[in-house]
Parts: sequence; C-alpha cells; structure tokens
Amino acid sequence: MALMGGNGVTRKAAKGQHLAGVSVLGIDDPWIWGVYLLCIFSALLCIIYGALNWNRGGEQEAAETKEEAAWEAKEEEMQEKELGL
Amino acid sequence: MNLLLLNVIILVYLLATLYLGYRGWKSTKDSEGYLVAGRETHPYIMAMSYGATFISTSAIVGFGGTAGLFGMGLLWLTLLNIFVGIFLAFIVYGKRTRKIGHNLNAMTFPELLGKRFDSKFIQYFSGLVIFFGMPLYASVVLIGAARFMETTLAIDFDVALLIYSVIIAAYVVWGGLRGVMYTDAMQGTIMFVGMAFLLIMTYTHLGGITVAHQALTDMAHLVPAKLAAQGHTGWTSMPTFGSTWWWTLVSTVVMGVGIGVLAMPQLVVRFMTVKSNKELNRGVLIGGIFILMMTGVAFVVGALSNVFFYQTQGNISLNIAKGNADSIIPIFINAATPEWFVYLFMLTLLAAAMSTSSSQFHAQGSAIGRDIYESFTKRKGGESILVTRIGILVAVVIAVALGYMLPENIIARGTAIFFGLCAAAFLPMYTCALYWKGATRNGAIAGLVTGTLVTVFWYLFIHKAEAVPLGICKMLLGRDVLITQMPWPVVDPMMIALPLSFLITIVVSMMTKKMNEKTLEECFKGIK
Repeated sequence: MALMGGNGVTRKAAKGQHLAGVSVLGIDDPWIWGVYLLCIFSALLCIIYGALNWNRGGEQEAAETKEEAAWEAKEEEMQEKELGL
Repeated sequence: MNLLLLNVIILVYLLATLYLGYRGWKSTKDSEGYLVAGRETHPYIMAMSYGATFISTSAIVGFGGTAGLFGMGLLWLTLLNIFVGIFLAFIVYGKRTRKIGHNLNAMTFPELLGKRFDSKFIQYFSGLVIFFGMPLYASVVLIGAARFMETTLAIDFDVALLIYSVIIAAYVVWGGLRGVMYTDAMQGTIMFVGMAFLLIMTYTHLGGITVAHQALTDMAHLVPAKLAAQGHTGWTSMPTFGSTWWWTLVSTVVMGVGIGVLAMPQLVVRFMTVKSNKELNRGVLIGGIFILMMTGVAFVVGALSNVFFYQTQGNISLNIAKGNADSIIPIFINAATPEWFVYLFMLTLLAAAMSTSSSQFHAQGSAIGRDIYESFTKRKGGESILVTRIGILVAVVIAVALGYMLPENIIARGTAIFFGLCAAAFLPMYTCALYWKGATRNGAIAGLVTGTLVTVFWYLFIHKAEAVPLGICKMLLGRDVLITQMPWPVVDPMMIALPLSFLITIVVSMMTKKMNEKTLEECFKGIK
C-alpha cells in the first residue's frame, strides 16, 4: 500500500466539511464531534432512565416465581416418568 | 517480559473463573437452570453479563483496529450500541421478551419464536441459522484474543488459539448459563477497569483531549492515496458521501452491527433470565455506562493510535500494522502503555473473549439440543442437556478450525456478517412477535426464510467484499459480482434483506390465517 499519500480531491472534500461549523474538542467535522457528544448524552439518558425507574417494575415478581416453581415441579415429574430417573 | 507477574495474573484470573464456573455448576440442577439460569439473576450480574457478552475482543481489537483505519466515524456505532443495543433493546424489546418468554416458558430465542408462532419449523430453522451462522462470529472472537497473545507473549498464534478454546469449552460445557453469567460479570468488571485506564493513559500521553483530537485532525493529508480515492477524508471526518468508504462504514459497520444486536440470540436469552422488569430498568443504567466505556473508548483510542504512531515512528497505524487492521490495537497497547498495563489489558481481552465465546457456544449448543433435537424427538430433560453439551463441543471445534483458516482483516467483517444475518432473519419476526398480534405463522416463516436467503444470496453474488473471495458467482456466472454498477457492490446485504423481510412478514401475515386466539392470549398474558 502507498505510504503517506495525500490527495487533492480528498483535501478539498475534507475542507468542504470543515467549513460547515466550528471546531469542537479539536474536531472540525460536525458529524464527528456531534456523535462524540451524542454518545455521552445517550449514556446519560441510560443513567437517568435507570435511576428514575430503579425500583419500578418488580410488581409481578412474586406471582411469576410461584408459577415457575409449579412448572419446574411439573417438568421434574415428566422427566421422572419419561426417563425413569 | 516479566514472566512471574504475568503468570501470577493469569493464574489468579483462571482460578477465579474456574471457581465461578464451579459455583454455577453446583447450582445448576435442571434443564431450566442450565438454559436460562433459573430466571433469577441479580441486575448487576445480568447487565454486566449482557454487556460483557455483547462486547468482545471483536469490538475492542477488531473494531478498535477498524477505527484506526476509518477514524472516529465509528463512533456512530457506539451511539447505536448505547441507544439501540441498550436503551431500545432493554426497554422496548427486553421487557416484552421477558414477559412473553415467561408466559411461554421458553428457554432459548428460537424456542420463544417457535412457541409464539406455534411453529416447530421456526424453532429448528432458527436453530439451524444460529448453529451454522455463529461459528464465523465465534471464530473471529477467538482470533481477536489469539492475535493479542501472539503480539504480547510472542507465542505461536495457533497454540494460543487452541489452549484458549479448550479452557472455554470446559467451563461452558460444565457450567451452563448460570456459570457463564457469573464469570461474565467478573469479566465485565475487569474489562471496565482496563478500558478506563486505557482511555486516561492515551489522552494523557497525547497531551489532553482537545490537543490529541487536533493532532489527529491535522493528519488528514496523511491518508494513503489508495484510501483517499475510495472516499477516506481523514480520521476526524466522515468519508465522502456515497463513496465506497462511506457505504462500508455506514451500511456494514454502523448499521449492520448497530441494528443487528437487537436480534442476537445469545443476548436475547439474557432478557429471559431476569425475574422482573426492575432488573431491566437497572440494567439500562449499568449497561449504558459500560458500553460507552467499551466501544467508545476502543474507537477513540483506535483512531488516536494514528497520532501516537506518527509522533513516535513517523507513520500511520495501518502501515505500522503492515496492512492488518486486526493488529493495530495489540501493537498500540504494547508500544504505548507500561508493561503491567499490557498484562492487565491482555486479561481484559481474555475476559472479553471468554465471556462472548462462552455465550456463543452456549447459544449454539442449545440451538442443537433444545431447538433441533427436542423439536424432532420430543425428548426433554437429561438427554437434551447431553445433546446440548455435545453441540457445544462441536461448535468449539468448528470455531477453532475456522480460526486457522480465516484470512487477516477478518474480525470486524466476520462480526458484521453474523450480526447482519441475525438482523435480516430474526428481527422482523421477533419485532412482530412482541408487538403485533396480527402477525401470523406463515408471515413469520416467510420473513425468516426471505431474510436468510436474501442475505446469503447477496453475500454470494452482489457484495464484492465476500463474493469475490468466495468465488461462487465467478464459478457459476463467470464474473466477480452480478451487478457492477455503484453503489450495489458495496451496499451491505442487511440494507436490502432487512426491509424486504419486514415487508414480506407484514404482507404475508395480512393475507394468511390469523393465529389462534388462545395462543395469543397465553403469549400476551399480563401485557397491557
């Protein structure tokens, strides 16, 4: 592969994008610094959602656990019958 | 190389892994415990396990190296990883998957789909797609770990691959999912610490955040001419819109992997392991931070490796790695960080690879044992666990064999292929299964078959990166690809197969017999 190339067209394209906005954190292309910040914001969104709902959603737990214990007993019974364990 | 330090670190790690695997094995008594960890898992364990499974050496070494090549545009994938892979996956998909999985008493992803649509065909066809598609992904994860060992320890790649696979096979076969999830959570914690150190070290070494980014921005003129001609404009800017480079970045790397995660069997099964939505809500918080620290750090560091190598060796990363992007991260870590960190990072990678590999093998084994064997023989319990264990061993052998055969620069591509296949085959059916009562058995089958076949066809006949090396199009039709006009040879199969599969699922569902009311009632019990 060619070493340090450099290409007129490329530089022009890059320059075109650079004109689109200001440089943020040393990055000129808004598509890149934008996504850099968006990544942090989306992680923050996850943190806020998780914190706000930290204790929600456990309402059906007891009933479901009971139901599953019954299934398990049934399955064990079936196994005993089928495999003679 | 400080052999004593290295051996102590590895020994402690392996002992801890074996201990956790043993604990899992002790508490795994029945089929349900083996397959979905008895559905009672702590949110920290669940979220870290999900995260550690999601993020592998493939993400850190493979895609980190890809960021060394493509630049920070890969951060779009991080955004999707967090927003789609965590936020949407847990809230929109996870909660319903958990509830419907519970209502149907489903143990695997194919079983969930099969029971929801009351179709054995869906269960075993999905099981087959997983069993035959996943080895490629499993294999590139092994390659990622072995490449790092090769560079760090200067040992033979083939030997590293073999030893490593034997350890993983042993603890997945005996531990079941509970063992896998305990060790995953420990591995996730190690990964988090390792990546945090890596980020701080890289930015500190290069003079701070803005200075480091600015230096990378100023290197745009160093892009090799060959890459620039394909649309590469620098490491802190997007490729030229519509160019080969742009299509590969956007359609294969970002969309393929970013969306595919929603329908990954080894991740979906984790939603079925928690007892309530509370764990999923908490998991969103832990998962969001974790993924940012994993892929966010890997991609930023991968891109910045160019600055480091340019300042110290006067060359860009790709040239330092002799054209193999898979080697960029291993070489960078070895060159830029102190020895103790290299060992810690190797452990991080070992952890990342082990957590993902073990879940992959577990998913493949259960595809054979539960989804294919049980579907055909109607035998349950002890026998299917035995078949699952044999299936895992077969999966390991296939993955290792592929590891020896696959070429360089394969990690990111291999991952993208499997993610894309899962998205096209499963996502439409899975989404409809959770949210649309009008979806019918025939609609789901039509979508599943369409997604699978279109993806395979596109790889064999249209997408240049795979069609040319595979050579099937050339053999049958005498030319490299079926359509040469841009942008088709560089458009990822998922971009075509996924919408088409969605469309077919919906249209066929509207035209065919509705699902039995009783089945629907049972599925959606307790869902408002």
